[in-house]
Amino acid sequence: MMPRLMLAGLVSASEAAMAAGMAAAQLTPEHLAPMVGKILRLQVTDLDLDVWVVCGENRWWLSTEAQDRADVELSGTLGSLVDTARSIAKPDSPLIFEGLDIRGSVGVLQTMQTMFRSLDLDWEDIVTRALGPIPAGLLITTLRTAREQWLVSRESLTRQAQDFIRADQTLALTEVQFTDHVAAITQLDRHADRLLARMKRLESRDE
Amino acid sequence: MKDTTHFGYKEVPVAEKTYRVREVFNSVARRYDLMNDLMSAGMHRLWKRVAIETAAVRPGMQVLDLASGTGDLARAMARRAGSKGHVCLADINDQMLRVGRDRAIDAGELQGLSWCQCDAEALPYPDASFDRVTIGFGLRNVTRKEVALTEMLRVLKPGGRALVLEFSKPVSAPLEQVYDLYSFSVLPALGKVVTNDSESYQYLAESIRKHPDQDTLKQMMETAGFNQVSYQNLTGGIVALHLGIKP
Repeated sequence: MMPRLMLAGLVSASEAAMAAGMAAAQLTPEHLAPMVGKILRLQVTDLDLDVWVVCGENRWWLSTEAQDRADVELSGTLGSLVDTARSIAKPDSPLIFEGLDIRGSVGVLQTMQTMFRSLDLDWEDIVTRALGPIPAGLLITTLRTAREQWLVSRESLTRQAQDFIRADQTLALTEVQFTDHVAAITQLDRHADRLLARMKRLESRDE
Repeated sequence: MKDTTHFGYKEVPVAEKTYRVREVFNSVARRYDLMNDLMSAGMHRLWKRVAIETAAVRPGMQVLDLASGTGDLARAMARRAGSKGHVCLADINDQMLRVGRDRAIDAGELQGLSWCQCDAEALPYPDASFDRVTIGFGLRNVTRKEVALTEMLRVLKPGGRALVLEFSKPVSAPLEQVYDLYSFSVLPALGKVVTNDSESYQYLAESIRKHPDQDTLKQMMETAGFNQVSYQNLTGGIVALHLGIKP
C-alpha cells in the first residue's frame, strides 16, 4: 500500500495535469456544465485503489478519499479503465467496455461522451499547447516509444510464455503419474521395513 | 470548577488564554505561511490536501472553515464549492484574517468567500447552516475544546462532515524522540530567525504536547455527538485528521 502522503502528492499532480490538459483543450464552463456535481468512482482492481472524480464548474477534481456518493462506479484493471477513458474521448465509439464492471448511471458516461464528442480533440496538440513544443515533442516521442516497446515486449512475453509451457509441459507429471509414483514409493518403503524386520529376526537367531 | 487552563506548559486563567493565543498569532501572522513551509518542509500542503479530499466538498456546498488563518484550506475548498457554494473563513485573530483576505485579493479569488472574526466556542451562525465544518491546526488553541466541538456539530447540517486537522502524537517511540528534539530545539530557533519570535514557536511545541492524542480527541468528538468518528494518522501520527458525521 502506497503511503498516504505520497498518494496525495500523486493525486494532486495528476489533478494539475488533468486541469492543464482541459485548459489546453479549451474546455469552457459551458462544455463542463452538464457534468457539474457529478461524481465518478473508479475502482482500480489491480492497484487496490479507489479514485473519485468530482466534476466542478471550471475543472474536475480527483480524490482517493470516499465522497458521499457516486453517480457511476467503474471497476476494472488499470488497462481497462484507460481503454474506457480513450473510448469515451473518441467520437462515435460505442459505450461497451471489455473487462469493466459498471454500476450506477450509465447516462453520466453518455453525457461525458457527448461532451467530448462536441470537441475536436487532438491530444498531441493539447500537450504541445500545455507544455510548449520542445517538452511536448520529447514527451510524445517518449510515450510513443514506450508504447511501441510495451507492445513488442507484451507480444514477445506472451510468445515466450507459450513456448515455455509447450516445451516444458511434456516434463510435467500428470496427476495419475504422480499418484502411481507415490504408490510405488510407499510400496518400496514397506518392502524396506519388511527386510529390516527380517534382518533383525535373523540376527537374533544367530545370537 | 477549574478556573485555569494550559497555555503551552503554563497554567493561566481561563479568560487570559484567548488573549495570549491572539498575541502569539498577531506576532507571527505576516510570516505564518513561510514558517509553515519551513517548519514542515512543505508537508503541511500534503496534510491539507488529504483534509480537502476527505472534506469531499461538492459544487454548491456551504462550508465553514474555523481558525482559517491565512485561508489556504478555505480557498481550496471554495474552488470546489464553485459559484453556487460558499466558504466562510472564521478566525478569532483579526491579523490572521487580514493576511488571509489580502492573499485572496492578490490571487483574485474572492468569489464565494466571506470573512468572520469570531470565537469557535460561540459561533454566530444558526443551527444546521453548513454542509462541512473544518478546523485546521486551530483546535489546540481553543480554550474549551469540547464547547467548540459542540458548536461545530450545532452549525452542521444532518449528514454533514466535520474535520479536525491537528498536530497529534507520533505512533512510534523513535519518531517521537526525533520529533521532540526538533520541536524544542530547531523550531524555536527557526522562529527566532524568521519571525524574530522564538517564544511563539516554543508555545507551538508545548501546545502540541498538551493537545489530546488521537483516541482522546476521537472520544471527545463522540461525546460532542458526532457519528462514525474516525481518524487517520499522517506522517506517523505527527498530524492526525479526525472526521465526524452529524447524525
